[in-house]
Amino acid sequence: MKICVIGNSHLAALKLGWDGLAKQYEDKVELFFFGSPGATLVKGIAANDSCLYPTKGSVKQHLYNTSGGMTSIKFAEFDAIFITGLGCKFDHLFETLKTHKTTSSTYHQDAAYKTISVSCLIQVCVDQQKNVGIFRVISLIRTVSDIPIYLLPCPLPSKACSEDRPFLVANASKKVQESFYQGLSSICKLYSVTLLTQPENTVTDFIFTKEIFSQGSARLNLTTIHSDTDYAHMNQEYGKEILTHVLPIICRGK
Amino acid sequence: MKNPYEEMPAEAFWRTAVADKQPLSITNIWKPRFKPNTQHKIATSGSCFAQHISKALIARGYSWLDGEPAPQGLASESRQAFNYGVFSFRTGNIYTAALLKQWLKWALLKQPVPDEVWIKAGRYYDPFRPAIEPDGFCCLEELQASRADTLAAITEVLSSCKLFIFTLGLTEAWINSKLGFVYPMCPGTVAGEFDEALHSFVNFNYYQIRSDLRESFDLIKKINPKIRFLLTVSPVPLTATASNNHVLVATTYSKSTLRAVAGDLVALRPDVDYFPSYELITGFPFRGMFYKDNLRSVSAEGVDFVMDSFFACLNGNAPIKDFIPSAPIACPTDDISEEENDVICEEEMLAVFGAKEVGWP
Repeated sequence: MKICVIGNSHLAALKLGWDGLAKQYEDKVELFFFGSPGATLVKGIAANDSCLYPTKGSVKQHLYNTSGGMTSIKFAEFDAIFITGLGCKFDHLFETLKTHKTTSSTYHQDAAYKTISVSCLIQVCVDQQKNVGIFRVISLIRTVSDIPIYLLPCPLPSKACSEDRPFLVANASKKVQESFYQGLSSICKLYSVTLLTQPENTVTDFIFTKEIFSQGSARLNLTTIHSDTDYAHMNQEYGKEILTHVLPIICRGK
Repeated sequence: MKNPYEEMPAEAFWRTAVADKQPLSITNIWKPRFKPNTQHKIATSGSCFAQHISKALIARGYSWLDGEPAPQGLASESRQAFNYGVFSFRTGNIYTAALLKQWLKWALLKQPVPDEVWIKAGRYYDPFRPAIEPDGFCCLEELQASRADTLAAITEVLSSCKLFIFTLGLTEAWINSKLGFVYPMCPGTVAGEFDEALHSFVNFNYYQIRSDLRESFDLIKKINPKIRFLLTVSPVPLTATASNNHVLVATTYSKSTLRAVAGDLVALRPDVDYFPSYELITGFPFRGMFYKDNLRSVSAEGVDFVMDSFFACLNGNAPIKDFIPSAPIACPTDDISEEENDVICEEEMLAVFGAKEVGWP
């Protein structure tokens, strides 16, 4: 099975993870990575003739570097798309949870925080995520292809970020996690996209990635390491866990 | 010696104030008793027409109090759907003076809220604000926590505001005949089940409404002695009546009773004023021009005319500043559509039931 993996900096963990796993999947799965940092892919790509192609030189170069020589994504050559990162992240909810609480929050009795219903929290997720880069790329793909697409959001923030964000700790609950995924799921349905969720063994307190996975995370060039204060990017071990979790799902879906 | 009419201004005479003028040139319709400036905190509540007042105040840079700001990230059309930023607190429409008094007793006197809850398709609906969330609450705990926030917001807002603008909407209501509390909507319409033995229709009369309003104002004055009240009467006719009268007759009774109460309260109390939005829309010199095709909804032009008149009387034509509070962050597209400028009117839901009865498609 040939899987096209599209994303931004979060692709690094997956690529490193794949380097450690590829042998296990020999003859069964091939992954082809197409990455461009930040929002450059979203701003520098177009769709035509069943392919995505770069409209900017810098994006072309990134696609070339990450894919090992390809400068466009021809959907006919793949069985599925696995897309990740590209602004689809839990962090958008930080501002919401600074002032509001669910009934599961430990701030439940604190009148300084207003109650937000689960329905409303799901709607916040929809409103925040529906126009982020990943869905712009997906909507582009859907204009030219009905290839199966699997979406994995950016990693949940590392638990390390909670030290100076007590409101996140207070709101860390299954309700909040489920609201995030339900919001995303409802957008995914619009594009016939399968939402993949972060495997439980990488998650702590429902809304955080275990700190161990954020240590020593690499940048998209795979050689530079993110700073210690980076709570958004994960390391090779995380990449392995993710691929071990999602590849069987994607393969079954074929 | 001159007779009193010789000294009176042009607006005291029908010919000079109305007959000689184009409808849109009718001015000076209101002499404000108190003039809030942009620093004064203003709260709004009441019938659906009151929603236009908050929007107009915000647009002109007035300090409209939002006791329950929307969560960051909620797009503007979603804020409307979840009743954020509609009134100063998330009670939904308060159509009757009795309902206002009831909310105030719960919020300010800490009287217990009845434990009645409506459950529909596994979702929980607050009988006292049944449309506050588009699909109800996920559980009783969430419903109660959200209502507790609203009660706290009522206290907070009314404690700190300088002016409370309340729009009177209806005289008709449904009450729980055993326990005596009043519903904003007839049980069984938005949610809940109608029980003939438990739910009774009431058409509040002049004395009841005046008494409820006076009691409401007195309750508020206990926590905020300097507060002032500005009453308006919604020009929106009844969607349906349960009074056994023709809906036009019922509307006339309802609106004229509310208008009379408002007028008398202004005469009785120096802390109450009345702004004639009702007259500006329904008055026959305006020839019904501000109603949409259903002869019920007020057009955007009508709302603008009312609000322009309001601000012109208050301080000349205050420019619109396009200041919108609680703007969400991280919402890449947040276009304002005509739909989202619509007001939320639970009463309109009654029309759905009417449509079924007469066999409309």
